[in-house]
Amino acid sequence: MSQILNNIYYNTTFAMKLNSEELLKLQEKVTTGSRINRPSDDSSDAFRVMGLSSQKRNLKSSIDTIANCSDLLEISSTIIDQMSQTLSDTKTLLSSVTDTDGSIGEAIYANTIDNYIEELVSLANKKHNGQYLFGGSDTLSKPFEVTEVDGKITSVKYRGSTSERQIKLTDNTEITAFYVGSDLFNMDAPGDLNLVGDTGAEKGKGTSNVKGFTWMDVQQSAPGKFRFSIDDFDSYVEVDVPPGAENTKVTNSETGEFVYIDTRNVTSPGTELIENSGTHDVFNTLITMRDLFENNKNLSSAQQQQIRNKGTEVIGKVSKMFSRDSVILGSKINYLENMKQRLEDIKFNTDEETTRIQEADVAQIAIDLSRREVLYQMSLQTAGKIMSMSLYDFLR
Amino acid sequence: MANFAIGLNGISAAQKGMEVVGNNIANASTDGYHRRDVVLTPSYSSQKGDVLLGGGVDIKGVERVIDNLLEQEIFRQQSFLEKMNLEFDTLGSIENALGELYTEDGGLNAAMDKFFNSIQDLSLQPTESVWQNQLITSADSMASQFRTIGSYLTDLENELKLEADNNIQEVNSLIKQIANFNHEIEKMELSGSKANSLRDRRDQCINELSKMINVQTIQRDHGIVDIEAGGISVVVGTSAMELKVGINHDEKFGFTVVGDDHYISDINGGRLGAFFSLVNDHIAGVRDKLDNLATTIIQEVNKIHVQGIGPNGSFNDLIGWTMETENLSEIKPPVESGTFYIRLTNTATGETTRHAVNVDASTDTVSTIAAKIDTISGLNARFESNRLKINADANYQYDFLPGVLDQPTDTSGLTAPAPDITVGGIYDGTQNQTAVCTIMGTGEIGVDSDLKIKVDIGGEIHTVNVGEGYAAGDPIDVGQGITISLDTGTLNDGEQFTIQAIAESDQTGFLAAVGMNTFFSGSSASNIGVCERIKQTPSLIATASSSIAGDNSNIQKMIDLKSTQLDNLNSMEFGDYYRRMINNVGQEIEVRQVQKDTADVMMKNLVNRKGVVSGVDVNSEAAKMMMYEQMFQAMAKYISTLQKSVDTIMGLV
Repeated sequence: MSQILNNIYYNTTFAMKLNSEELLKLQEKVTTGSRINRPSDDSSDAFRVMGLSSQKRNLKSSIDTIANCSDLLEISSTIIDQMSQTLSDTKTLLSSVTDTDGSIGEAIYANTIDNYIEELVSLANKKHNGQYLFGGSDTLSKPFEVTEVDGKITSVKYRGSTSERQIKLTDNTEITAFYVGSDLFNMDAPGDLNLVGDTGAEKGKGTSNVKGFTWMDVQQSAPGKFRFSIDDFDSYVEVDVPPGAENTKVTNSETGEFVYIDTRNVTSPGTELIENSGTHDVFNTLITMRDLFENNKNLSSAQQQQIRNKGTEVIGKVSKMFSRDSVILGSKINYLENMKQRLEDIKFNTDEETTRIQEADVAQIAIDLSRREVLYQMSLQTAGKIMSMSLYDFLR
Repeated sequence: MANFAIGLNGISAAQKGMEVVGNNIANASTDGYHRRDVVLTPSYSSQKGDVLLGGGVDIKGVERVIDNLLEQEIFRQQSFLEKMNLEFDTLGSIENALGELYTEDGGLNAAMDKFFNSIQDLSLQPTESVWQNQLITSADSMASQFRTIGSYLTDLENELKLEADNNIQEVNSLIKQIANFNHEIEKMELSGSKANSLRDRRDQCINELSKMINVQTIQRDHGIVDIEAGGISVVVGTSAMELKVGINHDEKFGFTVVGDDHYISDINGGRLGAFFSLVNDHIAGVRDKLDNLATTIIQEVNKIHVQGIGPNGSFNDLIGWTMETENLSEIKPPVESGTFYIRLTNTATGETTRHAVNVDASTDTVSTIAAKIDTISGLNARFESNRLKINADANYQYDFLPGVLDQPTDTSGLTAPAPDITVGGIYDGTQNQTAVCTIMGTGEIGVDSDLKIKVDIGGEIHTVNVGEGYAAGDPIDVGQGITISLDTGTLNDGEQFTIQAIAESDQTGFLAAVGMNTFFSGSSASNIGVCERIKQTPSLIATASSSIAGDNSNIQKMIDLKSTQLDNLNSMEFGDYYRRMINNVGQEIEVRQVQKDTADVMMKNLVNRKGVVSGVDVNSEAAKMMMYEQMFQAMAKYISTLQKSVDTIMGLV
């Protein structure tokens, strides 16, 4: 038997090194439970694992964002439902009014509606996590600004952004999380201009930009001269009637809003309620109804009844608008829930795939460990055996 | 007496054989030792008639048993193996430094995801300091990982260069020793001796040299070996070259002969070969990709960030970062010729104006651009202490917001007094362009029928009614996110007004290059960081691309970056590019592992083969020892027998 010492040594150390390295790799796999602990363990699978891990993180982020958006929309939807309920209460109140209620009863109604207005404004200016829900992109400023006279809200104007705040959920999907309040609470389908009153004023030719209900006072300043005002005579337009004008522009000096009226047939002073149909908003409607009950303009019972009827009709329309909003929000919430569920399913599958690729096969490792252990011992024993046999044993 | 001579040289040969056997056994474990064999030849002393009589045995010499081709192959394979080993180990270190897959949420891959996910979180609450701080933390963490890996690669490169320098000293020492051995061997062998031990020692030096660099040996007369290392003749006879390492003109790290400045880096063996390929290809490759990734993140994020504003609104003053050069043609990232726009707001009147600043990248400097900005009334700009500074006068603020201003750009085409026109909305087009609004029909806004406006935005035409049915003051959508609202008044057929719509307020890259309102600072993986002003005041994160408080549209643009395939990244997304880079490192290691394993086995076989050819088999030597012992005893008996014969004859006398 050849006994070249260097070769025996070299072969033994080579085998020991080979088996030691493999034993260390197996030990690492067992202790980490992963087949892939670094990219070079299996570069193509490692690439997939890194991609899947990234996908999991992104999915988790998207799921969290969806949950947050869903919460926001849930709260917005709840608020709209509450506002809708308030409108419904107002409608009930209007329908319960009788001629025998008298001034005390009307004052109670006015007070009740005033409370409703306060409540609606409070709901419309609701914040969540420090952000106004109905200000569109502008979540820092109070979206609905009120004007108060003697502690009572006389107008509510939208001051928020006209752009919705979009939130990106995934690479290709985004959703509105903060709605533009004026889009939700204001009707935006301008229709006819209607005048409820008996002054003889009619709608003019031009397109008025007043929204919802507007009170117009008509005053006779002199025989044949009538003054028209939509801001309680802070400003007015004086027209000779006859002949009157086909298109008289009456402007609110405070807001700049104006209305075009035909003054040719005006016969008497009084108050007209101008309705720009299709442009109502919840606040203006309720303020008008409250003012109606307060009756500071001394409207006749018949005119009051006529306006109440109009108010009831408008509240019905605004309620429908809220129902529409509610449906839109509800469907978005459902959409988000479905999307969240889908993403969670994808995340679950991604987890499974990652585990399948990365997880170590413990049974296989146990077998490999035994095999390597045997090989390691054999290499040592073989070296010892070869070394122990020598011709010198036979020399005398 | 010839018979006695036969006996004597027989004994001498046996002794020599025993001596060689002893020497072989003594060196059985000596590295580089080649087994010796005694070469014996029959001796002829006389001729009687036709019979040639033997004169015993002659010792012709003691030869090294060597297979030169096999030795050459071992040098070659060993050189390759050393290169593979070093490359494998070093690439493994790089892989460890990158730190991917050790933990699920560790490594730069996760850090980049967290950064972009923090942007997404901030988009939900752009004014909330918790999310602003979270974004800064995640950006800082990502930048820190870039820097750690970047500086690790730089340190590693420096260490490898230092190590290469040490190795080249060792190479020089070995080369010198080989040349000296050549001298000694030549001298000894010219005098008729065999310089076996010297040859072994020299070959051992060549063996050591082959670990450092790939070598080629050329055998010459009198035992001299010439050496070619890495393509350069380093030993010619008894003279040796001196080598050095350094950087070539093409920036490649290599080696050359002292006195020359043309460095060779393309060598395919030995530790030096590994040093050169690691420094020139592997580390440079990883670092280039990492730098490219970091640079692209810096550029792309900053490009969006500079155009936005945070919840704190527009700026009173901004100071750019310190520039190494003010020549735009030398600035990195590169600045292109074009225009950037500054939006100036008079805070007293609320009036906003937009000012174009033209940039000629080939001739302008930061100073000349500062001078151009300085001409804008309400702004002061200067390039001072190598930094661009822009200050607004009292009652002025500025920013670089894109979109539309709240007034038309030009209403000179309308007959005075023109009605008030208000522009609004968030421009969602992708080009900087001017919307041309042409009046169709003549009449009073909101009153007369057939009064319309035709709006042409880059060829996209929208016609909107502003006559009867239009309530003056109501905003009308004219396309691409822009709205206009007109107050009451009269418009005339064919008249025009224009609206400038800016999608990108800085297409030149100037603002990002000089550090105005940037999010990231730095220009590579080694120095990427979050700008100090942003760190100190998180509300300066430019979340909005309009002046609407709480607008998140700029942040939305940053989110889009995550899934954008960028030209700078070979049309890949950030994450894919990085994972591909990691994958390449992993593949390189896998390839090295296979090559190393193959070379290991080949080396084992070659060494075993060498052992069989040149190694000392102690059993074989024992057999030889017994043979020479028997020979010695036989020759001694022979002499003794001769002596007895002589004594017998002498007794007759």
